[in-house]
Amino acid sequence: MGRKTFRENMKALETEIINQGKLVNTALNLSVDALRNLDTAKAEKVIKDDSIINRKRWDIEEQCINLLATQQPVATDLRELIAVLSISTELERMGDHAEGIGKIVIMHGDKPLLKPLVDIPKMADKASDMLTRSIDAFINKDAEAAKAICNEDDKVDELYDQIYRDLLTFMIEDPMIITRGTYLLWAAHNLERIADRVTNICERIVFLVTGSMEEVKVSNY
Amino acid sequence: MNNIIIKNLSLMYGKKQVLKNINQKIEEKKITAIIGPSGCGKSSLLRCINRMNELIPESKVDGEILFHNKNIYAPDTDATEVRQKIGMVFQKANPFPKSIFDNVAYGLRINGTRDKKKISDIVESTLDDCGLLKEVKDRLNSSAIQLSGGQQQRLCIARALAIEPEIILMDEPCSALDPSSTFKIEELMMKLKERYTVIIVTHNMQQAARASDITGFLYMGELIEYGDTKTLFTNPKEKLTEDYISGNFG
Repeated sequence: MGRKTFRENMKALETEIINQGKLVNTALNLSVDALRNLDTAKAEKVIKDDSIINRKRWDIEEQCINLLATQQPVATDLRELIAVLSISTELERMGDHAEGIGKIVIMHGDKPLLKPLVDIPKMADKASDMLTRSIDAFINKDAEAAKAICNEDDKVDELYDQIYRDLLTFMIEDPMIITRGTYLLWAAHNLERIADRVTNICERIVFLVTGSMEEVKVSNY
Repeated sequence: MNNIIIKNLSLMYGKKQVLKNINQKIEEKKITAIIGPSGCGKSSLLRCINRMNELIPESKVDGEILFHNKNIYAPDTDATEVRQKIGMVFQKANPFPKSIFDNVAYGLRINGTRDKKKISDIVESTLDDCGLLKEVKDRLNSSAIQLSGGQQQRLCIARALAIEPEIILMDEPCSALDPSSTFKIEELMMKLKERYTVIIVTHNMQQAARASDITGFLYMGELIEYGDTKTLFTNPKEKLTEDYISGNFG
C-alpha cells in the first residue's frame, strides 16, 4: 500500500466522520423534538438508531487500527489518525447522550411537561450548530475555527444555568413535580455534555493542526 | 554531556560534495539515529566520526570532529586510536573466519593484551553483554561463520565492545536481519547506551522511532532537523522532514 492509498484511506475515514457526525446531529435534534412533543415513537427511534452510531464507531476504529498496523503513520498522518479515533469516540458518546434524552422521554410517559420548552431547544440548537461546525473545522484542518467553537461552550453553560435555576424554583414551589423536573434537568445535562464533547473534538483538531495537546476550554461543569 | 562535537564538517568525494557544513553536538550515552533518503550522506557522516572515510580514495574532510575536545583530524591524532575508542558495526555482519572466541579476542590481542585469563574473562563478559553467551557458551571454539545472521551481528558488536570503546557507530546493523534478530539488536542497543554513546544509521524509520532517543534527518548532505525522536516523529519542525518521514519522497 503506497502513500496514495494511505491518503485515500484517510479521505474515506474523513467521510465516515462526516457521516457519523450527521447521524449524531439527527439523533440530537430528534431526541429534543421527541421531548418537546413527548413523542415516544421518535424517542424509540433515537434509542434504536444509537446502535448504528455505535457500529460506525467500531468500524472507524477498526480501519484506524488497520492503518496503524500496516502503515505506521507518523507526524501529521499519525496525528490525523489519532484525531479520527478520538473524534469518533466522542461522537459515539454524544449519540449516547441523545439516546439518554430519548429514554427520559419514555420515562416521562404521558404526563404533561412542566412548561413549554424554550431553553432546552435553544441549548440543542446551539450544541447542534457547534457540532456541525466542528466537523467542518476537522475537514478543513482549521485550528482557529476549532478554538472559536470551544469558546462558544459558555453560551450552552449559561443556558444550562438558566434551566437549572428555573427548574429548581419550580421544584421548591411544588415538590409533586420533582420527578418531572429532574427528568428535564437530566435532559439539559445531556445537552450540556454534548457541547462539552464538541470542545473535546475541537481540542483534537488543534492537536491535529499544531501538534500541541492543550485544553482550549475548561468546562464549568 | 557531549563527547562528540561536529564543527563545520564538509566532505568531498572527488568533486562531489557529500556533506555540507554539518554542526552538531552528539549527546553522551544516548542513542542517536541518523535518517534520510539513499545517498543523502548518512553513512558518510558516520564514517567521518571514526575516520573511516580517509580509507576511501579522493575523499577530503573539512572542519572538525571533537572527541573529548580534541580534533580527531588533527595531524597528531592516531587514526587507529580513534577507531579503537569509536567502534563501528557494519550493515553486513563481517565475522573473521576464526572461532567465536578468537573473533572477540582479536582486538584485545592486537592491542597487546597477553594475559589469557584476562582475555577469556573479557570475551565471556562481552558475549554476555551482547546476549550471546548463553547461546554459544558450549561452542566458543566453533567457527563464527556457522552462527546465524543475527548472532553474527551481535558477535561483531561484541568484538567492537571488547576493546572498550566509548562510542559505537552502527551502519544499518539490522538491514539484513529478520524481525526477531532486529529486536534483539535493538534491545542490546538500549542496554549499551547505559555505558556507551550509540549512533545508528538506519533506513528503517520505525527502527529510528522506537529505538533512538534523538534523531537527525539528513538530506542532500545537509542536516535538516535534529532533536528528540518522539517530537521529530509526531510533530517535526521542518516540512522536508515531515514529507520524508511520511513517505512523500525518498
